[in-house]
Amino acid sequence: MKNALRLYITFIPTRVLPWLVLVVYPIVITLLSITSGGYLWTEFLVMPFVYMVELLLALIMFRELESKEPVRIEYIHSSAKGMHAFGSVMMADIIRRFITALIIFMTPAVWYGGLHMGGSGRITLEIDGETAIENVSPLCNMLVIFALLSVIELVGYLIKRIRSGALVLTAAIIGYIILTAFGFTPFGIPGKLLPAAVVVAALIYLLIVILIYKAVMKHEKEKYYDSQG
Amino acid sequence: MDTTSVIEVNNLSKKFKGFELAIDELNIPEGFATALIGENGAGKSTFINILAGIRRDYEGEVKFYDGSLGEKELRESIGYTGTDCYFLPHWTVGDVETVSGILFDSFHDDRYRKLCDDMNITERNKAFSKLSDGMKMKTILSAVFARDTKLLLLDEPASPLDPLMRDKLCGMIREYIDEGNGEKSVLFSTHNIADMENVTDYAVIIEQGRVVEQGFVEDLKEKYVMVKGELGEGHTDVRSIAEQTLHGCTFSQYGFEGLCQADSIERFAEMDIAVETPTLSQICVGVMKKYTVLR
Repeated sequence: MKNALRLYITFIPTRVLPWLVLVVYPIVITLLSITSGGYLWTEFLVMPFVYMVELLLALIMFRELESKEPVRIEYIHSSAKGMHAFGSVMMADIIRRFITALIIFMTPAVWYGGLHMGGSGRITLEIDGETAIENVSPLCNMLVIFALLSVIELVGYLIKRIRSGALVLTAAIIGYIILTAFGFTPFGIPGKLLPAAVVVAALIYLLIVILIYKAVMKHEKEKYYDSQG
Repeated sequence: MDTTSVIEVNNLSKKFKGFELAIDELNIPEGFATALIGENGAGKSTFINILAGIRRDYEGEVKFYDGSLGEKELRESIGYTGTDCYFLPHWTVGDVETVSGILFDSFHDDRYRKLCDDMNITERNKAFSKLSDGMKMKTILSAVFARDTKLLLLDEPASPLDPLMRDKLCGMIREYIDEGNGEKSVLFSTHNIADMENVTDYAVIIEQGRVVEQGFVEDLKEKYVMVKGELGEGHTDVRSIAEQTLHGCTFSQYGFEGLCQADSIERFAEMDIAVETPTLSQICVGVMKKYTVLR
């Protein structure tokens, strides 16, 4: 675990970025969420921000390594532990992203004992005269986390392999549209079904992570073989 | 000389577009420094990459230590230096130390720091990509020599180094082999053997992807001689004999000079020639000229 973290930090390309990635950015965004009163509308401002930051980090940190071109880091590839080292860096990045999202989105929920829809105090949302949503369960935030991370993993994988700036931007925008469209869905789910929905979302996220991890490791193994000849 | 082989190669083939590395049989002796010599594009780096395990798409058989080591143990025992993307471009000397300790069990960080001091690696916080070629190679060599290995595969280690550092590298290689008491070996590639001649025990000359000559240096110096002679009157015959017999024969207004096999020297009987023991560099150039496609 310690070695995975040390190795992960060496993969971050600047001296300042590890501090920004691991410490500053999660803390600043979490404080922003807390100090805004734990209102859900801030969560929806934070969500696109986290999405864009994570995609930017993916491009900065791993684009060259995970691109379609066979960039081979000979020192790592000559070690018997090379593949394992690369895999542990990938896992560390995935775990870092999950923990960051957990901290950013769950801290306000825990702080305020639940989330509010907006405005001052608790607001009840009425649809057709019927009370639709009163207080928002933190489980809704868990759904948002898994949805956000799933889209980040998918879009992140694609943009690292695309060379065209226009296509990168297109992929990122499509991901953002999907997130926005999903945005309020968790809050329409009846309370009794929320735990099951969270479990399903977690499983989908895990499946996406496993598939992407396997795809990237397969691509890394292929670097031992030339595309020519 | 009876020796055991650290590397045995049989029917090795690696194809590229317009080029094929094809080595039918090659045995690198254990306990010696072997130079892999060839012109640019001869296949030296490809061969070393295959030995280092970073290229795996080849046909044929490559065996280390008679196949007695498992893959993990083998990779731990081999120290490899390359010329392409070796480290991540942003790694500093400190990052190399961190990564090396994780990737290799036998890495000694105190030895690494001492080697960095000895080689005067001054810019320790600079990104690897921003270092000069010489500093890059010194950092790579420090990382490799800081490990407990039994075989070093060095791809063009001397090319970016200044003459003083090349001399130091030769000393490090000699010390490495002497410390091993016959169990440590070095295989290094070079296209300029003159700089590494004093540390070379065994030479393999590779041209157009094929081994064209190999042997212990002392044996090669007995096998070949350097012939210098004057053209004199009736020089047409002399010129013809020289062209047919000598490898890489050169002519000037004063005469001719070239390499030939010692047992062919009788063809120059009754000619006014001087015969010298060639240097390894002269042997390599002469042999390569015989097989090169350069015009």
